[in-house]
Amino acid sequence: MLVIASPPRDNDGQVIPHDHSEISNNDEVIRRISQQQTVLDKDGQRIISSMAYKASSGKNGGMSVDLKQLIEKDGLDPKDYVTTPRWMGSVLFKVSELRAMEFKVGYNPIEPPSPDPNPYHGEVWGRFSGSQTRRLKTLAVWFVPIPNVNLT
Amino acid sequence: MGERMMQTQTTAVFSEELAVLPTKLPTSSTVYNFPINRQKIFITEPNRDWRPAIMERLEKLTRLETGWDGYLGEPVSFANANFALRMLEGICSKDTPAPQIVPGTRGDLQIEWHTHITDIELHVIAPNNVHAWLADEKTGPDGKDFLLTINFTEVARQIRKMTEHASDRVATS
Repeated sequence: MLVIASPPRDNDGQVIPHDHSEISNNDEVIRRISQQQTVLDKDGQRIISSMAYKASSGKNGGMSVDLKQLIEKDGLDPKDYVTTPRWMGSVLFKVSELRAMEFKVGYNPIEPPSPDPNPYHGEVWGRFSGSQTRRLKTLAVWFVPIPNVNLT
Repeated sequence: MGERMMQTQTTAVFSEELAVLPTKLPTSSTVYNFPINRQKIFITEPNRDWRPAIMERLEKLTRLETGWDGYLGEPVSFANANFALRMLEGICSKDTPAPQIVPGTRGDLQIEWHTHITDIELHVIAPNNVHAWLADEKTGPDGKDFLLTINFTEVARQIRKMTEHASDRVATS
C-alpha cells in the first residue's frame, strides 16, 4: 500500500518541480541505465555517458528516478523492480548528496493509461550543467551493474 | 505536419546564417532515377569517412521503442537526427574521428568525442538549439558550457584541433 502525499501539479496536470517533504535525506534514488547510454572513453573503456545524467527536455522536465525506499515500503525488491523485464543496469544516488548540489528530489508517479505505469517514479530537478553532470557521475554508485561498463 | 516540419528544418539547416560553417566540402553525387517522371535528380552528399556509420546509428535511434530507457523515453526525432547529420557535415572534415551518439529521452540526442586532448559533447535539444560542452587542458576537467544556435565556429575549431592531433598520431605511429 503506497503512502506518500500527492505531488503539486500545474493547471495542465503536470507535476511541478518540488522537493518532496516525505523523501528523506537518508533515502536513495535509483537511476536506470540503458546500454544505449554508454560510450567509449579516450582509453576505449565503456562508460556511462553524461547523457544518462541529464533532465528530460520540455516543460517541468527532470531526471527520472525510482524512489528506492518507496519500493521497499511496498514490500518489493528494488533490484527486481528496476531490472524486470529488460532494463540492464542502474545506479544509486543519495538524496542528501543531490540536495547538497541544490537539486530538488520529488515524486512524479507514472500513472495509467501509460503502458508502463510506475507508482515509485520520482524526478530530480535542477541545473544540469556540464560540471553538475560530471559531479553526478562521481556520486553515482552501481545498483545493478552493466557488465564491462565503468561508472566513469 | 511532417511536411511542414521538414520544410522548417531544411530552411534552418541551409539558411544563409549557417554559411558560417565550411561550405566547400568534398562531395559525392548520387543519381536517383524516377521512371514515372523520366527525371534524374542529382543529390550531392559530403564525402565523409564517418558518414555511413553515423547514418546507420541515427537510423537505429529513430527506431527506438518508446520507454527504451526504462521510463518514458522516446525515440530520437527525425528532425533532430537530420539536423545532427547536417551539423556534423558542416563542422567535421573527411578525416574527423567518428563521434558516438547517445539518445536523449524526448527525441533529443548527444554527439560525443572523447580523446586524449579533448572531450566534446553536443546535446542537440532541437534543430538550431545545441548545448555544447568542451573540456581540454585549458578548461580543466569541468570544461565549459555554451549554447549554439547558428554559429558553430568554436566547436568546429576544437574538432579541427582534435582531427589534426588524431592525424599526427597516425602519421607518427
